[in-house]
Amino acid sequence: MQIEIVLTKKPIARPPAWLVPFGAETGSLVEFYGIVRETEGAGKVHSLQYEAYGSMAEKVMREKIALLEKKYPCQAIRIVHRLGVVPKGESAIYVGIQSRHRQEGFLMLQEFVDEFKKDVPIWKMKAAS
Amino acid sequence: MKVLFFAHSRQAAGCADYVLKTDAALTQAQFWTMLIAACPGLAAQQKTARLARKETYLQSGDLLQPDDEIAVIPPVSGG
Repeated sequence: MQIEIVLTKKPIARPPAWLVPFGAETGSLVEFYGIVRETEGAGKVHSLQYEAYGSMAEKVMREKIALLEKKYPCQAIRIVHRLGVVPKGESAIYVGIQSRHRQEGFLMLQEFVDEFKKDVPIWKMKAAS
Repeated sequence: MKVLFFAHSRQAAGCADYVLKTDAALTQAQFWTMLIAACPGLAAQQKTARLARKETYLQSGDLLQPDDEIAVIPPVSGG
């Protein structure tokens, strides 16, 4: 399975360009964008500050993918997480999964994001105003 | 033993890393006792943070060796 992980301080382009053409086996591309929401409870959010323990974050993601691809064989996964200040309405994370059929792509995406939020050492904090 | 701090643990410690002087292996409870004695601001982190060595989360019974580099990982919130 092809894996690409990017931690970047640049805005996440939408749609992001895959670095390689779709494979001959690819019949589905499932994508998820996580957006900085303006409302959080009763409060308003102008931006969030993200930071990562980058090397461990990539290692944990690769371990999660290795386990999940045994359950849901897919062709490729691309993860982009933005670091630094992310304004409201902009993407903090992008995950794209290429698979032969849509079902394994949807299932892998759901479980990957759930696992990501449990264990990948990336934090969001209130941005300094 | 070098200790790395991130996000809320860095804010609580007031620094990004700290050298904990020990010649012996430590249980995780001993590690926290020594760390909090040196950095009292980290007391609240003991209940919520996880520890990692070589970019892998420690299991509950794992010992910490004097030459380890240990990361204090507060609850994650990426995505």
